[in-house]
Amino acid sequence: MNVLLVEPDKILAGIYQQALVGAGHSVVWKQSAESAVHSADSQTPDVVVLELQLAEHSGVEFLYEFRSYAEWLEVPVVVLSRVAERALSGTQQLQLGVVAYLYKPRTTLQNLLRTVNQLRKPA
Amino acid sequence: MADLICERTDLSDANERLWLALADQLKLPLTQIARRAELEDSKESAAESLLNIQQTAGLALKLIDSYALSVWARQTKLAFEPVSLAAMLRDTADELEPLAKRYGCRLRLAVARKCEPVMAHSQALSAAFLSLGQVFIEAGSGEAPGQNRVITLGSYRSKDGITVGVFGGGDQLTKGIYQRARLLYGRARQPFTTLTAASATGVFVADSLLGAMSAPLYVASHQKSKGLAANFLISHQLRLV
Amino acid sequence: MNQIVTTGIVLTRREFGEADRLLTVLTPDHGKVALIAKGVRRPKSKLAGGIELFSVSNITYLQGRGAFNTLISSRLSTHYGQIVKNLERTMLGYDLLKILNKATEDAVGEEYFELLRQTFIGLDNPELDRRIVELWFYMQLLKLAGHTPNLRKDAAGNPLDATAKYFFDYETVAFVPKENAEYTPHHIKFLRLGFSVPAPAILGQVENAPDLLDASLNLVRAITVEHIRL
Repeated sequence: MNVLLVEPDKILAGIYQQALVGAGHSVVWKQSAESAVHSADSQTPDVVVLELQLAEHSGVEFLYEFRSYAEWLEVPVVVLSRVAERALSGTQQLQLGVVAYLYKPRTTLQNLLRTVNQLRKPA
Repeated sequence: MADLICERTDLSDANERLWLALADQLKLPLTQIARRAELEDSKESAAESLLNIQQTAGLALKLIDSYALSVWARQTKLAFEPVSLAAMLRDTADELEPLAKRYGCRLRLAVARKCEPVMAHSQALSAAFLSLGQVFIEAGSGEAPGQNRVITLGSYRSKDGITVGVFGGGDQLTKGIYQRARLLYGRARQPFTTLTAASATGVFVADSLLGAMSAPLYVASHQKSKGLAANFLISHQLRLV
Repeated sequence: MNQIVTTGIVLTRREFGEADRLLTVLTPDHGKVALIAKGVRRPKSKLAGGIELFSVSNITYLQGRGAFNTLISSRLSTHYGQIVKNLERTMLGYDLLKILNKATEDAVGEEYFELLRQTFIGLDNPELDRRIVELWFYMQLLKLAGHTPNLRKDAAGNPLDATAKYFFDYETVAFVPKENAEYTPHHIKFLRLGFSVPAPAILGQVENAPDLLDASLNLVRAITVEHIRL
């Protein structure tokens, strides 16, 4: 799958990218909400892995912008964030199309891969 | 513990707010260590991985120490001694070099020739600029190599004395943004959105340490690069020595 | 076609055709207007300033013959930038925008613009508990919709007792005295203040506001859900 990874920290991004590529996915890494939207414009991702705490515009702003375009309404978003889940209520996650909320400090690479792999569409 | 940094307007104690910000800040290096240790087919050798883990852990421990020092500095009168800013910045650059390399940033020293020693608390000064440098490096990395910033550790004579700072924070770093960020630290997850996505605890620890030496941080420019700096008065007694 | 110059706050944004966006903008003098912002779907314009959320913008638009008008120019007047620095405030801001959009018809008066503007000012202040802002917002919305609860007399028409406790009857939108009930005279005074003040910051100055907040917010939210179609 084509994964759009939105992660502000270069080191962590490298680690996640390596794990996802190792699992057979292709990964585009973007640090900011704005560059992530531009990237999605060039190539619609199959899944977005998103940190909420970004510089400039937050991941929440990205989600609202992302979901305002019809072609991206169905793209699943996995939140992988240093912010605990209580920041977004269940209703808000549903409204924003968040299919999974992973708390970064406690999410192993295995858990991340399992979550992303489950989103693979059947051939 | 602090796995949720939520809005706490009832936290009137500055130490409490800073403690929560520190707890949030520590998530990054600890997550880096934990995830790196998981990578099975890492491109790095085992030795490189261990070195990276050691360096990451080392800087996280230094941040904790700097925080503790800043709390102590607020409660105790610091003992000053003559400190060579050039030597301090050189040592700081040496300590930050491995981190800068991992983040793909370039560190640069720009120390003016005639910068006399200043009266300061040596450990607090080093801790302040180490914290500050770390924040700028983490914020300064870009997605592509060409996007990485040059982070300058510099000191120069100014009309107010000797200015020492870390530069390379980007054009968006302004006096207004910094002043607002100071009000927000410990209260907002991202008081400093233009500089970093993190809680920027390092900036506020630095500010706290330097403030205890009557040299608080402010937004400054040096060699066309914006950053955060502090002023130290020239000691005429030291000049005579 | 008429050219209109005014100020506006964006309530919603969505795509419109290949290159345009459709904005619902709340203005003080023309109510809610639907504006087509042409050519802003191009990559460089996304998430760009000019007409951002949580802002008051100076706008010029051409009145169209049908439902839509065309935005000619926009310039940021005030951007409440502190809101987006906090995730919970961002989410609350989005939620309140949605609620206001749903709760209002197109031809609304200036008071709704002012309600939203004061809400942004409140959310933009990190010293002010966001729940106070949320409470004040709901109160003002109820007031504007004519659904202020009776804070002077109980359901039976008797003046509220300064020593009694009450539960709230949502049908009559009034308090009913009951021993060991949830609402105290402090809650009632707090609510009276909230419905009457022009800005949430004033409500935030009440000394024991944190103790009164949860119960008051639950009450006001429930009345809103019951009486305003959202």
